[in-house]
Amino acid sequence: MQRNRKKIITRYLVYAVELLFVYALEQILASRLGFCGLYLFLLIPVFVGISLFECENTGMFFGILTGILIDYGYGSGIGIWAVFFCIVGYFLGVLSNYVVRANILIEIFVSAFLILIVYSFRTFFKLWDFSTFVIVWKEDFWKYLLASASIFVPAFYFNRAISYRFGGDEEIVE
Amino acid sequence: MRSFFKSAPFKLILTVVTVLLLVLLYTKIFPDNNFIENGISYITVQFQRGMAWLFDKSGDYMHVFREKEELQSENEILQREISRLRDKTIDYYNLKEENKSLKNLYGMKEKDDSLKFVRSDVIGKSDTLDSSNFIIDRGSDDGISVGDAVITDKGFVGSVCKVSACSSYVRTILSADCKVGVIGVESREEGVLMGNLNFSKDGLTRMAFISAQSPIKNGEIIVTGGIGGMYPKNLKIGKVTKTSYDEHDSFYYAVVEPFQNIKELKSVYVINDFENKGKIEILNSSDTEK
Repeated sequence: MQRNRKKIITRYLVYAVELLFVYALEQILASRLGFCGLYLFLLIPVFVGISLFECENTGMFFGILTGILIDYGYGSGIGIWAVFFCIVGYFLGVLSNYVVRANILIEIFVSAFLILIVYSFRTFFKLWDFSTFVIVWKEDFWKYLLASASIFVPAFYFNRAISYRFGGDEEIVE
Repeated sequence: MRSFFKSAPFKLILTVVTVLLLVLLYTKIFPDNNFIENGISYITVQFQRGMAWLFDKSGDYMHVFREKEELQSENEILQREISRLRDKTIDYYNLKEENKSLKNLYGMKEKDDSLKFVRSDVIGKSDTLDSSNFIIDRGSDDGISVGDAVITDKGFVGSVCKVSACSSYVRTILSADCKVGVIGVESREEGVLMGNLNFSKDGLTRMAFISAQSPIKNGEIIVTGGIGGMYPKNLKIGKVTKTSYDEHDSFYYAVVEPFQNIKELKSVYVINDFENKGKIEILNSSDTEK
């Protein structure tokens, strides 16, 4: 029991450091690769990878952490994306625990969908003009999505490895 | 469905969401220097500083992998540049002497001693759309406040728009939300520097609200006006590349190419104090009549 608790705490710490590391990487890549006009959404695929291998409450917790980092990175008030990712984290936990087994296709589909939502909302509320939004969206979104897709697979397998190495939530019950 | 709304998970989600909405409300009421963002900034800035350091260090070693031909052609260009600069140095000393005498003649002040700077590194980007806006690793703990001017050795690049304890968000002159009073050094034409999404992509900005018969010319240098007391006077910004008319917003504007390439910034200086900070300059009657 003691060993299990130690494993769980280690696992959660690894996830937290992983999210902070990826957040810093996302920010620095965006600021240093400004000449490419790219913005890589790295935090979202990593969050999806974590949530797919954890229970719903853990998914919710790391959803809040991801949302707070996104809110903080954008300089908007803390809470908007935290609420959104909290709910998404919960349902991803439910999905992978009770509906389908976590697999790479879910990671790709959910990550792409969440990037679409985050990018579209941010862009639309910044522009407040639908026609300009459509032009900007068509021009930039696919570029950003394809660049961000580079981390979908590593995020999935890395988090799966962490989950297996430090045990799943089933062990807590025992 | 009814049982779900009575279940423990639903109550947990509801509690968490309520707490987060209260946090959101708090951060909206106190947007600057609130303890929540300060706490987050203390943790994230350490990671971002480390990442920036690693990124810059790795960049220094990347040149080793460049192609030999590329280095040779670069060497040739640099040799030509050295020769050209030698010629310029001779001109420089002649001009320096002439300038010295002119300065003495007009009693111009050589340097503004009242300026106080804080050096900081660029550690992130704050917006996907306004690709020029960025985050720096200094905040209110270092004496930075909202509205402080941000410069580099090449000129004015923007101003601080949001502050946490150890990080700040900078809105650059390429941003559509930027509004800075500026002036043309030769024509004395006044205008407002405000970015535009289309120009921003090419690293350009624009000086809006210039008059229809503006005497402003291509190549004219644009500096800060300093009238509102927000920024020091005469901080160089860029040069005019063309003048045009905005049919959508109905005003004349000049396209300005900043001296500093804003999208490739690694470190900046924040002016947190200067003489006449916060003092609004009132035009005298003769100026008003003009």
